[in-house]
Amino acid sequence: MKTNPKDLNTVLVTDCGSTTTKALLFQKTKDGWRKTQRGEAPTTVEAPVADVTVGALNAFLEIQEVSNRKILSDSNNIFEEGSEEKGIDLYLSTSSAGGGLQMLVSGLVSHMTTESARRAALGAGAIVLEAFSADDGLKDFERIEKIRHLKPDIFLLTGGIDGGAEEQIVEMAETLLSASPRPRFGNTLSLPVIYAGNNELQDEISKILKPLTKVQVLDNVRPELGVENLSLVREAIHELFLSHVMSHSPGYDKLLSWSPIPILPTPSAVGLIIENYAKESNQNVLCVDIGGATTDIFSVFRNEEEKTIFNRTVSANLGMSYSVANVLVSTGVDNIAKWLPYEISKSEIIDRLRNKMIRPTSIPQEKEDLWLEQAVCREALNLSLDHHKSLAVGLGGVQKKRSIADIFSQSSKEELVDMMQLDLVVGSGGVLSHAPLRVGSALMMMDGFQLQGLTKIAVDSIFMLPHLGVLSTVHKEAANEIFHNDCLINIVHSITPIFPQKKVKQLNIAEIKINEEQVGVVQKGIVENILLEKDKEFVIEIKPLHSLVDVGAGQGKIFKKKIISAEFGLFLDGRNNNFEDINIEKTKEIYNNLGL
Amino acid sequence: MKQLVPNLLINENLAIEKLRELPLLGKILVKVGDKVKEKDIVAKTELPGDLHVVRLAEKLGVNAEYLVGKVSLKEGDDLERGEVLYEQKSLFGLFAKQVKSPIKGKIEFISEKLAHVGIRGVSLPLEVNAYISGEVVEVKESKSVLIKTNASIIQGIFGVGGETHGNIRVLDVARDKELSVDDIPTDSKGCILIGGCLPAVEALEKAEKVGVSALVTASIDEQTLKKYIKKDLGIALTGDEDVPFTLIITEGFGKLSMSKKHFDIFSKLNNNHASVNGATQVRAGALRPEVIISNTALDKKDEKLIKEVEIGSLIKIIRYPYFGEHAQILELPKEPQQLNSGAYTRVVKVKLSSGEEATIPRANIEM
Repeated sequence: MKTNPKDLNTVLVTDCGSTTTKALLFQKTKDGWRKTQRGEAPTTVEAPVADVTVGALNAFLEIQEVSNRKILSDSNNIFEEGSEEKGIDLYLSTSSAGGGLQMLVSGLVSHMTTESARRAALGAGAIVLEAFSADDGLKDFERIEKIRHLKPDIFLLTGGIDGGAEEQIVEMAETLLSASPRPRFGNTLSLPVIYAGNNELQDEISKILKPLTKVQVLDNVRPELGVENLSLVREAIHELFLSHVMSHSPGYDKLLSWSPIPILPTPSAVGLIIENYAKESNQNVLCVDIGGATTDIFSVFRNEEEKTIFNRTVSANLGMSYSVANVLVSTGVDNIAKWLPYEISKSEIIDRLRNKMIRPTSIPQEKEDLWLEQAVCREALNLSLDHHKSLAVGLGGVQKKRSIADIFSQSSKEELVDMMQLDLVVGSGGVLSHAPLRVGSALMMMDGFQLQGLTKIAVDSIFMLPHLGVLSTVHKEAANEIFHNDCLINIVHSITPIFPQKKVKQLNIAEIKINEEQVGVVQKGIVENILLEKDKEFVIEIKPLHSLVDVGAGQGKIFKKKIISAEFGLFLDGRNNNFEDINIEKTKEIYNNLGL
Repeated sequence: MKQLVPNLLINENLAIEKLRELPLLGKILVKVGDKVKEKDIVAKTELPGDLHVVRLAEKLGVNAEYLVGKVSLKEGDDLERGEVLYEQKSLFGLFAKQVKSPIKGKIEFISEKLAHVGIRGVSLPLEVNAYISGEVVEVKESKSVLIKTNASIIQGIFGVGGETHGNIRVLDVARDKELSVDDIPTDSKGCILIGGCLPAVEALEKAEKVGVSALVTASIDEQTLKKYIKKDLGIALTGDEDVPFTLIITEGFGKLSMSKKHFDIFSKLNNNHASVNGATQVRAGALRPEVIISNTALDKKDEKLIKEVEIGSLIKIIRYPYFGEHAQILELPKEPQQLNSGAYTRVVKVKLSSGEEATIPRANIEM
């Protein structure tokens, strides 16, 4: 296998998901790097097959059949050596099979070290099953019960700045020892534990946890209140993911041997490509991957010092099939019903969603049923974004010594996700990528995320982000080219002015000019679509028609920006993200205006 | 032309295996070739007792540093409940303050930095039964036992509550009868009641009162389920609910009639002894609730959870607008077709029991 970008012409990449293994073939063509073939097969990590490589080989075979390119070798080597007509130069993979990487984390104060621990785990692609802290309100026995019940893959123990608090951190280690959880895989193995807290406790923590496991000791994630140090922990998590989780999952030893590059957790790979793109294009980007069981949100925003900050969160039980009923439970049936353009009883909504929960692979046949799933999607996006905003914050804490009581009461933090400053939102996952109408996907994201100002809305065409993420670790330019050419589908630019609802009484809210020519007016409560010539560079000017209206440059100020027009031009959204009095008639009108 | 579709097992003649695993290494009590009954204990182990941390310095009102080197006990020492961990004498030895062990156990750690003593309590025994009657076909020393039997097995679509046993008792009600309090016989203690749909809360309360082992019915509504399990269920991951009896539904949520296939096999197996488990896990490697009647079958036969359908096959539709209806396959078109939702997908053309013809996404049928 070749790993030097100069030697690469054909790269095969798989993402081994919980249910499907998706293989993509990337090739250097006369038009640059492109996605040329796709194959997929059911993932075979579970019994009765219990070997992930069987599903991967089935996906390769599909690519081989449709492309007439011989990929698999007849000899002992799994792949044909890459040449112009056959074989591959490199094989790469990501994985979230078997529920992905599941972690427990702990810290001292929930909004400080625990938050840093959580960010470290999430950034490494893990699902954080639970985050414990000295101020979480739980009794010791409750923590012990939770730890025993949750069976994590890895435990990350943090807490205290260097030279700071000791007692509560030692007590957390004692709680972990009391619980003595077993890892999910390999019931004779010990649980991997990382300690990255107060450096003066490294020996003490290792000693306490000795009966449970050999602790991996790392530098503190929060050596000072104003300093966060996550990279070492993330690397250690990746290594443990490979050595403890992947290597004990059925067939992964074989899969690991097929590639010279480590397998990445799927969300970690998505994060890489999104962060890379946001930095290179100098944009604030929000990306969502809404799956059947979980919803991942990635954001890259510039903070007040113009430093780019990447954040990832996963809402472990918000999704469109396995977790669909949990969205219902979390938001309530009324919040789902409000997005529907037709009459349906609440009990019917509940029954349909419960039935989707127990038969998760069924799909909507009628428009009414599709709209119901899309209504659930809006709420799942909204709940997931709230969760993301609560974690994507600046560092809690100040650089002065405080007592524990002061620290517990501290809450002021810098919110990093500023929807008015968001340039691009990317949607991925079946309900967004495979919606029958792209406009429908855009509307789900506009409503679910409650976009503000001018935002470009795009989707990942066929769930290619993980593949491109792992490719970017070897060949960044190729990954970027494919991202632009084949992955990202730009649907529309949405324009949502924000204003005090009661104070701005007029109908016309903002005027829209394209290359200095007026093309439309945002009207209060109305959503309209204005088509533009596709893929052209335009200068868009949005002029507030009231001094309290903000369109992106501050109240009453004109906002101007160069854009490349998307497939469906512009959405003018005059609803001010005010959905309190939304009703069937209003929703019907919007659906009609947008051709849904 | 054939197609693979999901299938709930409903079979009265099947070779099945059950793995009985210890959560920790322990002792296996049977050997390959042994015949076992469902309640026989096949493996046992000991779960570690709880850890109690005694904060010596805090209890004595001294600094931890003061106690460094003064605690004579060491890690690994056995302790009786009430045994003195440390005694501090003061005023020329006239007064003594003692800290005693709150439990019987073993010292797991002593933290000098904080003067904490961790004492692990006595282990608790844990036993694993056979769950089904059959023959032991494989033993993994200290870990697990594999039991095989010929059996009838009937899977439901969703359940709550764990493993139990009892005699099957098919209720004298129609397949679409909403179960009321009067439908639960007062003499059904220990029984697995089968029949009807949408049980009323009062019917479940009566079933609890008379002490049934399990209830298998066609469907349930959300409010009743919530009252029964005392929580909102967000994820179909069940089996360890604290419920008075195991509850299994065969069709889904809302007013749905029990399928004839389910009803007929239960009627045939009426009065047989069965093993029941409500545990459901609707994810990859899905686990569905089950009723197993061991040793009823004569011949072994394998059946797959994914079955092939072909023209003429009888199928069940599992999604609006034909949810719960049964139909016969007329065509299996190869190319994807557009649904009313606007999506393109592979479909089947079917004849409904009413005689009406319909086009259904392949994802929305079950055998």
